[in-house]
Amino acid sequence: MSDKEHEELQKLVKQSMSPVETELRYDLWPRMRQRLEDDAATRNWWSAVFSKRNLTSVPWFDWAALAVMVVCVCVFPSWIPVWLYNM
Amino acid sequence: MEVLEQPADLLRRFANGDVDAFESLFREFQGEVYAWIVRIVRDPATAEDLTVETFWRIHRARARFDPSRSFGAWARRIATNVALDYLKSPRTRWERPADEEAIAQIPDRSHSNPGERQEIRMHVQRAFEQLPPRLRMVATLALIEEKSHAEIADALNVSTGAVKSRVFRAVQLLRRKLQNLGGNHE
Repeated sequence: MSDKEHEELQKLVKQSMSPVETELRYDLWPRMRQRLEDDAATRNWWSAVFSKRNLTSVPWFDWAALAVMVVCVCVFPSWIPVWLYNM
Repeated sequence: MEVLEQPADLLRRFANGDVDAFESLFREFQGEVYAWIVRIVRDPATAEDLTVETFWRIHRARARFDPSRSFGAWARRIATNVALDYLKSPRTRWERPADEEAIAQIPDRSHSNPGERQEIRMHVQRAFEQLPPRLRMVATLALIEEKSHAEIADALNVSTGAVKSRVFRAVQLLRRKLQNLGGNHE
């Protein structure tokens, strides 16, 4: 493609696309701060639920029951609907 | 985007997770990041969302930032990736048909029939939107915004040769698509 053809196509493209306003209309910091706060709240919730204290307060036999259940689900996946029905 | 020098202390505090330092950098660079993104996505509301998303990624990646390097150049690279992810999302590829009203308002310097002109513009916009996202982004910056190949290469973190090659491929694809869509507009 010659330079002239390239320039013609560029001109056609420029004429066909709407120009955009590149000036920011307002301060976006309040939205950013909100997002940071939402993230902090989510992280606090997770750390509260899965804190070491909470996890160590679960009795050992509950962990054993959970482990048995996970193994059974892996070995006998056809049991999943039966468990879900009984839950 | 103009790359402003930042005091080393501010950048160090930002890298260490200081929210006040992050706010200072946000206020200083939000306009430049927005201007860069809006040139690529061509929609102010989307560009505002993507500007916040860019700074969100910047905030999460702060520990990896090297305070001895330019914050502006780093922010621009992240903004480019965010804009590219947006262009790649299926929603943006199919839900934004060419806006006929906006097209009709574009000033025209040629002397052809107004209906014909509008049809040609629609074809060009459609052909542009059908370009693969990477090519579309490079073509937008190089052909419409007339950014230098070096500047685009820096934002994409690729060589100038790669940018030239993408522009060439984009132009070839555009020509082919325009021929398929509605005859020859050369």
